Formats: sequence, C-alpha cells, structure tokens
Amino acid sequence: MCADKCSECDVVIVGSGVAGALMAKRLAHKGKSVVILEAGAKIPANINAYMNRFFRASDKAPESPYTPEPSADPAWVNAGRPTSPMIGAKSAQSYLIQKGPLAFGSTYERIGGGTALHWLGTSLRLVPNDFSMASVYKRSDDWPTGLIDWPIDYDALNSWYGEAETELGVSADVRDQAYLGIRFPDGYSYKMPGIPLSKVDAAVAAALTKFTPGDVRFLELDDPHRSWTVTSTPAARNSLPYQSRRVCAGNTNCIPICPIQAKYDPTVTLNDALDTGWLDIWYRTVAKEVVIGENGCVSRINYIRYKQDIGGPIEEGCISAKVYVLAGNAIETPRLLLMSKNGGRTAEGVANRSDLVGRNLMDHPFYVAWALMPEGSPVYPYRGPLSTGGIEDLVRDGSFRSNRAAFRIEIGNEGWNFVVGGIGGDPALTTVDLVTGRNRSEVHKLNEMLFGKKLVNRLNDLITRQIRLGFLVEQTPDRKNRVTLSEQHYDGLGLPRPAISYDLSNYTKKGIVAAKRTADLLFKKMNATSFTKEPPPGHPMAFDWPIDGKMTRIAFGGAGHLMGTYRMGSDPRNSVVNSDQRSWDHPNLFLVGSGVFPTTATANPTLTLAALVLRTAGVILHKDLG
Amino acid sequence: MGDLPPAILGQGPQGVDKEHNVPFTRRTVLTGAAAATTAATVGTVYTLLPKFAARSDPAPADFEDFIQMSAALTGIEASKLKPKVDPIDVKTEYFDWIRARSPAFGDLLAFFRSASYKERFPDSLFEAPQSTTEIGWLARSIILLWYLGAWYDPSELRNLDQQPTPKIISAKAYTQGWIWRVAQTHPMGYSEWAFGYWQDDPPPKEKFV
Repeated sequence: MCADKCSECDVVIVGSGVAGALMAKRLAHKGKSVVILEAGAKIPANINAYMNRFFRASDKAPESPYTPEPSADPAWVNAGRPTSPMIGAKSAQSYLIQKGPLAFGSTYERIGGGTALHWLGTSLRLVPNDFSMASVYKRSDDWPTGLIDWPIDYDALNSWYGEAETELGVSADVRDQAYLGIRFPDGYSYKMPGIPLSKVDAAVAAALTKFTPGDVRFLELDDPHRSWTVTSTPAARNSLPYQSRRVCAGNTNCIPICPIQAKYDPTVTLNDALDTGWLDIWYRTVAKEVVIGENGCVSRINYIRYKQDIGGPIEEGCISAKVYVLAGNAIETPRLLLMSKNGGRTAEGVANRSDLVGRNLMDHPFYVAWALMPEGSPVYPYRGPLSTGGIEDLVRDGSFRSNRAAFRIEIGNEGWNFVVGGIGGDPALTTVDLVTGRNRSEVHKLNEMLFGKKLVNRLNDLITRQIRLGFLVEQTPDRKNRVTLSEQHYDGLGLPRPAISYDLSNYTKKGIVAAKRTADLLFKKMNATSFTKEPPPGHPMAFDWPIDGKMTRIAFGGAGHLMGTYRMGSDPRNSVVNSDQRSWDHPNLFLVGSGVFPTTATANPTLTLAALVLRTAGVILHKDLG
Repeated sequence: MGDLPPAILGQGPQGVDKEHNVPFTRRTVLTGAAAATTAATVGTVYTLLPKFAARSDPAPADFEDFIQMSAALTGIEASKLKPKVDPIDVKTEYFDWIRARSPAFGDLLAFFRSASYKERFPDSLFEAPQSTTEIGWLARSIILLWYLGAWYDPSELRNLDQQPTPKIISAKAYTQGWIWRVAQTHPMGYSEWAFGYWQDDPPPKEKFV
C-alpha cells in the first residue's frame, strides 16, 4: 500500500447519492477541498443514454436504466447491487445473501448520483411524535424494545427541513402539511405550489366520504369522526421551473427515471458542487477499508479502482483527509465498516464499539393492493407522476401506536404497472393475456384470444379502470435484523457481499394487517373488485395472520427505504453516532444517510436524511474545519 | 388435401392445441372444417412464396398488404399505422424485423391476400384450424409488436404455459406502442403533454385510435 503517498484533501465522502452530494455541495461552497469516492459509473453527459437503456429494457424495473447490467452475475460484477430479478433468487444469483427468515425485498443503485436517481421524489416531513416513540407511546412491558426516542426532536430539525426542501425543490402547500403537530416557521412556504391530484386520487377521495366511524373502528383512531381526505403529496418534482429544470410533464416514470429531470436527483447538486472547483468525484472507486490511526482518528481510506463493470484491471490506492464522511446506504456503509478490520485492531469493524453496526436494519414493509374500478367508471391511470396523492393526516400517528405500527397510504397513478408480475408488468401483461389466451392478469378468460376492434375496446376498458394502493408501514428496530459479511459469497473485487437477516415483529405485522383491512374497505367503498393475490405457501415475503377468525396469508414488498444500521443516539452504548452523525468512537468520522434513523416512522426517508446532512455539514464547517 | 404445401400449415415443431386439448399436427389441422377451402386457394399462395423470400427490399405491394393486414389484426386504422407524415417510421422497422425472423410471414401475407379469406379477415384466420398454426401465432406476434413495440416469438406464444421472453426491438418501437393510445395515455417515460393534464379526463378514445 502507498501509505506515504495517499492523496490528500479536506474531506473525503464515500458515496455520491443524495447525502454525499448535499454534503459535498455545502463544503465545496465554503472552499473546502472535497473528494467523493463513488463505487459506480460516471453520470452520463446526456440523460438520454439512460433513457435509451430504459426504453429498450423488457423489464421496466427501478434499475433498468442503470449500469451494471441488472442480471449480471454478482460474483463477477466489481460494484454490484441488489436488483429486482434477484429478489427471491438463490444466494449465488443474488447480490444480497438472504439469511431469512424473511427476504429483504428492497434494492438500490451503486452509480453516480446513487439510488435517488430512481427515487419517487416523495418529500414528507416526519411528525413530531415520530422522534419520541418510546416516551409518548410506551404503555406496557410488551412494547418493542427497539422503539426508542431519537436524540433530537422535530423543532431541532424544523429549519433544516426548510433548507432540504430548498435544495431538493419541493412542491407542496403548507396548509395541507400542517397536521399531526407538524409546524412550520412563520411565513414559511414551500418553493413551489403542490402537484395537482389525479383522476385516481379523485376516485379514492370520493370513496373516503363514505367512511363511517364504524367502518374504521379496527384502526382505533383517536378521533374516528374526523373526515378522511386525500392530499397532494409533497414531492421534489417541479410544479414551476426551478433550478434551471423544467416543469413536470407527467411522464409517469419518476421511478426509474424522469426523462426531463423535472424530478430532483443528486446530479443537480453534484453539478453545482463541481462548478465550485473544490469537488472531485472519483468514479468506479470502491472504498475498501477505513483505516484508524494510533490516536483513534481515521487516518485514511483504502480503495480499489476498476475500469469496467466486470473484470480487470484494478488498482489500489488511499486517500487522507481531515474529516471522513461515509454516505453509502444502510447496507453498504455498515458493510464498509465491518470490512475495516485494521489488521485485527478493529476486528469487529470500525465505529462498532456498541456492536450496533449493521444491526436494526429496517425498511417500510410495503403492502400493495390492486383492483379494477366498476365497468363504466374509468380512472385513467398511467397518467401524471407515478403518485400525486396520499392519505396521511389520520393514519400516520395516534394512540394506536401503543399497539401497532402506523402507515401512510400512497395512491398509485401507474395502474397495475408493477403489481402484475413478469414480462414487463402492465399494460404489457394484460395485452399479452388478451391476444394470446393467457390469464396471468386474472381479468381474462383462458384460451380466449382477441384481435381487431374487440381487442381495442376490451383493453381500453380494462386498463383505464386499474387502481393500485400502497401502504408504507412503520417497522420496529430489531437487533437480529442485520447486515453482516458473507463468508461464502464475494463480489468481482473479492470483497464479501452483504448477508441479510430479516424478520418482522408482531407490532409491524399488526400494522400491515391494518393496512390490508383499510385497502379492503377502500375498494369496497369504491365498488372496485380487488385482484390482490394471496401469496402461495412458502412465499419469502409473506406471513400468516388471523383476520376475523380466518388465517390469512399477507405479502409485503420492500420500499427501498434502507434504515437503522448505524443509528444515532445520546448514549454511546446504545448508538453508533451522536445527533451530529459523528461516530462515538472516531471523532473525525461521520456516518450520514437514513442508516442513522433510530426508528422508521412512516415518511419516505430522503427529506429527513437530507435535513440531517445539511445540519451535519454546518457542524463540520464550524467545529471541524472552522 | 394431403398435398397441401407445408408453408401454409406451418413448419414449426409439433405442439398441443390448447383450445382442443389435442396434439396438433399437420393431420389434425387438415381435418378442420376450413381445410377444403384452404386447399382451393393454395396454388396461388404457394407460387408467391419463393419470390417473396428471395427479395431483399420490400415490394410496395407486400408492404401495403402488411399495413392493411396489420390494421385488421390490431383494430387500428391503416391511416394511423401509416400516417401521411411519419418521420419516425416504425412501420418499416416492423416489416423488416418480421421478414428477417419469420419464414411464415410470406404465408401469412398470402393468406391475407387470398380471395376466399380476405373478406372475412382476420376472423377467417383465427377460426380453427388456422388459428393455432404457425401463421396464426405469427399474426398474434404482429399484434403484440404493434401494441408493445416488443417481439414475442410465435414459438413461445403457442405454449400457453410458457412465460414469453419478449424483446423490445428498439427505443422508438417502445415509444410508438399502440397500447398507450388505446389506454388514452402516453408511453411511460415519453409524455408529450403539459403539466397538470392528469387532473382531467383524457380526450375520448376515438381521438387516440
């Protein structure tokens, strides 16, 4: 190793996703020299390179526009990542080694700009009680031990939320969002007005007016008489021109890629930071070990650089800085920390005196339900952003959280696009059914093959009546849900692949059951016919639960919201970083991203992790580099 | 009848006719009700094939028949499949693609052209027994190509238990798929509409197809 010849800069950041990008921008604008080590490929000069890959992909999955090839063998890929076809696959074919008992169903990207290239853009704030679950809702001894308070509260983040909303460019209306204790500084307004609701949202809203307190008794809401509403979801998606980017044209493609960059992605921030001249991004550079010096501080990061997605040549090097920021995600960051054994001096990994690195892995288990509106009542899906409206104000918080997980409801504008499996989802799947006499969609008669005008009319009738609801359920932290290093499976660089142990607590399962019952109720009030399938026995992401005396098998998916594996806290014995996201063990090491979340709450995590990163950038500038 | 040219019956592997749940072979096809009519026209059909297969450039007549046949199969008017101003020209890409991959393409065009079938086309094609021959499955591949911009190999379609492995033949083929217009929308990732359009009902179906 070239220990004496390490490159030098003020701050090294590992990862160029939304957290790394925002950190780099804040530091570079203050004239600090910053190097980002990015494991994946460079952002193409023209987004159409990605669009072309997306258009040509037969499987329009979140990863389909991006490199490396989603179906490539993870043993050969230099910087691999989990992809949709790998969910439920055997270990050898899966980047993540699934150790069960349930499968972990979320994926991510390792590429310039990170997973937020394919994010939806949802930018909800947490509600104040999300920061103090134990002190507000712990009522009895069977309270899940992992459900703890955060070391900071809503008010400490309020102004940082505002800054994050400015950086990401969030469209929303304050009056819609001031619920469940969410408060804004006087005179605050979002950067752009809220995104208009869709016809699907309107159909859901109409059904909600038919809810009676008796209908929703099972939810144990604090005020069952309050009326239910659909609100425009705050989104980092332009409703006005912003940051030299266009207004949303409703491409219905936020995931996997917005073709006109009306949705924020980290390349916006990275380009801004690069323009300062103080940022350098080293692509295809995988951090391999965080090296700890004699004084307990990080002294350098050793890395491997590679030239192609698969195969050699590779070269090794190191980089030194005053401050180190790990901004991978809640799987890759603990993987790096656990790989960093320093010749045995940190045999259990760097920053891991608490033994919590990699533990408490969480997601938002995603309960998805789909249905057909009644004949003659089209809702015209496949139009507008993937989701424009949701139901939040009643269901995200309440005293029911003493007993079960909360959730938020996301209304889909993409019909059955990702809920019916195989051959590219819908509308392709239903089209193939009708033309060839299959019935994988379950809306068609086996062996009946349509053509001509009859095909046009039947397809129009079916596709325009599709609806999809998604429920993002809070997941409790559990020490046994963890990321470790595989001892059998390696990536193309010879580094151990992440192994995942994952399960759901009864508290979380009860939240998923409440979500399912809410979906059933909503479909009933819409006079819609549910086509949500009960998963087969042995499904890797399902569990059995009695509903009204009948054992029911319920499936859930991953939301792509990786959280918890290097959590923040106020006690070094019970957390990995403090509220500044600084390692308790190594004073010049910061771990950022949603891995610091002690609990998941119900909001998509990006806005909160962005607010935390901006806050930490201020700490670094004033305390460490000031 | 036993001398029917193999071309019109399809030369693919023997399969199972799911509709009738019997193995389908040349012989079972021949016993179908329409076999007699088929036989009456095959002379013309057969003589067309070698010429068709030998050509490297599409003849205007073949191409025009392809458009007319596609309109009947898809339910979308020929004037929309072949608009007067058409710089994208996905139709030629489709024609060339099919010609390069399916030996039965000429047979299908010949079937479409033959006097006794043309009037009732495509019902005449999709009635047993032709429905489950090679040209029947090719016709369905052609429908899916126009709708989805993807090639579903006819040999995969005929086995209903098999999950097809489609190939999107080009970026522009995906964006020109008719399914999106049939659903009164735009291709996902290729909206040419303006902010907020999703608040309102789309224009009526007739404006799209």
